[in-house]
Parts: sequence; C-alpha cells; structure tokens
Amino acid sequence: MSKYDTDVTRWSPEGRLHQMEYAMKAVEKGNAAVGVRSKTHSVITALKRTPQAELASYQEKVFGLDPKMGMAIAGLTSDARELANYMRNECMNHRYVFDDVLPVGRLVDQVGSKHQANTMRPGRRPYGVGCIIIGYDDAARLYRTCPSGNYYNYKGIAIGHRSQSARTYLERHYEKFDDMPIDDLVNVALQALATTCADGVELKPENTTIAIVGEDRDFTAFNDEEAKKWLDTFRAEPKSDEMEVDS
Amino acid sequence: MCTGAGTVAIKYNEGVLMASDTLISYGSMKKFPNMKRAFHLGSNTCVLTSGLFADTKFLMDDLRDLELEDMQYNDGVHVTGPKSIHAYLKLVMYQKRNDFNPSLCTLTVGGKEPGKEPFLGWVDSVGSFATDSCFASGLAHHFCMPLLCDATDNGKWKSLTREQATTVLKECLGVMHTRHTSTSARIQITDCTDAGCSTGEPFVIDSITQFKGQAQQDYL
Repeated sequence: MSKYDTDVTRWSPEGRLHQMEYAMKAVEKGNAAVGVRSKTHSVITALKRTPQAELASYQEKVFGLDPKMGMAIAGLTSDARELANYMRNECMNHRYVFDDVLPVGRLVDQVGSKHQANTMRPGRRPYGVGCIIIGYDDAARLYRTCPSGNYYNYKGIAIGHRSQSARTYLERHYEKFDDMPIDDLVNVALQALATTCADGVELKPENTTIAIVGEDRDFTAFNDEEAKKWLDTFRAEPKSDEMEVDS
Repeated sequence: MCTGAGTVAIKYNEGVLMASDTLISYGSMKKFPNMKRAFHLGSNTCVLTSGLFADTKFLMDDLRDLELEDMQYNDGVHVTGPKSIHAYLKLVMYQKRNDFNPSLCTLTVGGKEPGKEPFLGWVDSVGSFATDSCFASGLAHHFCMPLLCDATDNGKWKSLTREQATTVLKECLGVMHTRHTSTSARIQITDCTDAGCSTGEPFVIDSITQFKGQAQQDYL
C-alpha cells in the first residue's frame, strides 16, 4: 500500500508508523467488548464469536488475571494469550513478594512498555490486540491498552468491531457511572454492547460474556447459565436513529 | 559489631506505637547514645530494628529502592504499605538465611493505612515472621512481653488510647533499662496513624528502682 509500511521501524514521510496503525486495525476487526466502572465495581461485557459449528468451543474473550483483575480483548487471541500469561505472572509475583494486589495502573504501565518495545525493534511486530483491563486495588479501575503502547484510564470504553456506537452511548451516560449500583452498571454495559450488534443479532447467554470485579467480589466471568441472571431481563434500548416498532 | 538492644511495639485504637532506646552499643561500650533506630518508609510505614545495626542500615537502604520506584512512577500508587514491606522483608530475610548470609537483626514493621486496620509485624534474622498486636524484640521479648500482652490481648488494643499505650511502652523500656545493661534511659517513640508515621524527639525516662518485696537497705 505504501512504500513505508513494510517495517514498524520505518517512519513514513508524514510521520506515521503504518505497521502500528495496521495493528490497531486488527483490533477493530475483533468482536466488540465494553468496559465500564463505578467507584466500587468494574464491569466488562463482550460479544463472543459464534463457533464454526457446535463442535468447537468459543474463542476466549475474557481472561482472568488475578483474583482482583481481569481483561477483555479484541484482536488476535494468540497475542492476547501471551499477554495474559505475562500479566498473570506479574500479578502472582507481586502477590507473593508484597502480599497485596498489584496496582492495576502499574501493571498496565508495564504492559504498555511491552507493547512499545515491539514497535521499536526490527524483526518484531506490534501486538495485534487491544485489552480492556479491569481491576480493584484501592478503587475500581478500568484501563485500555493499544498496540501502540499507549494506555488510558477510562470510566467507560468500547473496542472492536462497530464499537463506535458503543462509545457514543457511553459518552452520553458516563456521568452517572460513579455511584451506580452493580446491576445498573451491568445493564449499561450490556446496552452499550447491544448498540454494536448487527441487525437481527441480540444479546443472549450464548453469545455474551459478562465479567465483574469490585471491592466485595473477586474477578468473575459469567457465561451461558450464569449470565442468564442479567440477560434474561435485558431489553436493548431502541437505537436512537431508528423508529420504534411496536411488536 | 554495633548493636541495638530491644524494641517494643503495640497496636492501639488509632494505629501503632513503637519505641526503643537510642543507644547503639559496641559490646559493653555505649558507643552511640543518640541514634534513631526507627526507619520511615513511604508515608505510612515504620521499621524498628534491634540487633546488628550495620545489617539493618543495609536492608533499609535496599528498601529505599522501593520508595524510589514509587517516586519514579509518580502515579499516586504506593507499594510501600506496612503489610507489603513486611511481606517483602520476610522474603529477603529468609533468602539471606538460605544463602548463609543472614542480616543479624530483628525488625518490627508497623503502620496504619487510612481505611485499614493498624498493622504490626515482626521478622527475624532467619526469616521467621508474624503479625500480632504487640511485639518485643531482643531481650525485651523476655522482660516486656507480659506487660505488652496484658495491655493488648483479646482485642483490648482496640480500646487502648495513645496515652495508655505510651505509658505501657515507657514502663517496658524502664524495665529494660533497669534489667538490661545495654539499654539506656533515653528513648524515642514512633506513632503511626492515618496521618502517617512520626518519630518524636528522644527523652529520658526514669528507671524502675522500687521493687516490691525487696527489703530496704540502709547504707552506712
């Protein structure tokens, strides 16, 4: 496509690293994931990719990293698995040495450095995965990492395919998150995720994962049966630019 | 071979009170009569030492690296809480013992983080560790533990006030001065509360001179 996009170690004349941008595009191809946080809890919801047939299991979207930390990913699952292993190791080591949870911001900083290293070395390629990392150290935390090595602290975020509509939804509602009770917070995350669904696709226990962490609860991912608690009563809000249809 | 004598520490309702004398002895010589044996780390943790002073200083310099790391990140996160320091120290001490290179000192780690219970832990030169509501190291363990336990056992420390705790510690160090030849009467008390750890100025206490049951001697 461009003369300057074969190596991540080559700048383009416009001052861009094309390989890094292509890596970020890989993230946008993955199924959507949404993260929100209040003062006391952080929630992730993610759309699982339907398996090829009923023979196969789902691709992992959500990784538990620590009793008080977990993440949802979008992009190359194999890259995500390597990152998850690294993060699990770091969390475990910190717990062993300091008898306390690794502060989420510190871990994310380390992951950011790991990402950045791959944008500067010849012969290596950037990680093709974006992560929404949630955790609880002294407060509920929500971070997003990027193949570029940048990381951000968020109140609400969405990544992956068609996630812009989810981000728009979150922008409209984020001011209410801080004091939201947990069930409302999960509902908001599901609503945001529902905006990314193509027409005809609904959030169901079969295709949605919910994960929660908070001061009173360890990181837990809810799939299938366990996710019914929220999904059975979930009704997606009509999309704002569509007319409401009476059924 | 400069050594510090015993230290005492107890939890009280608002935090942790830790005390020691200010003497570093060189055998039976009272070499450094005005040394502060309390080391502050981060904003909420204090480590009191007894035993070989050189080994302690070396360990504390190592712990400063943890503080520096926090400073470098400058992200408002601190890994230097009292529980974390205690966990780190016990691993270091045990590792050194395994390498036949022990730090010949006993460390008492105390502190209070806002919103959490006061923390008091103890690590010795072979890597034994414990957390409790009162600790005494060195010979103070033999002289003072009954006094400390009386004041703090069975959750009594939760209703102990700072004044009561100070009285207990002064009494303990008074006993130490009387019974232990390497403890001076010049003591220093460190108070660890939500507001942080602060070590007071050293002051001289009275040693215990009246003993029940001891006949009065008239000297000619």
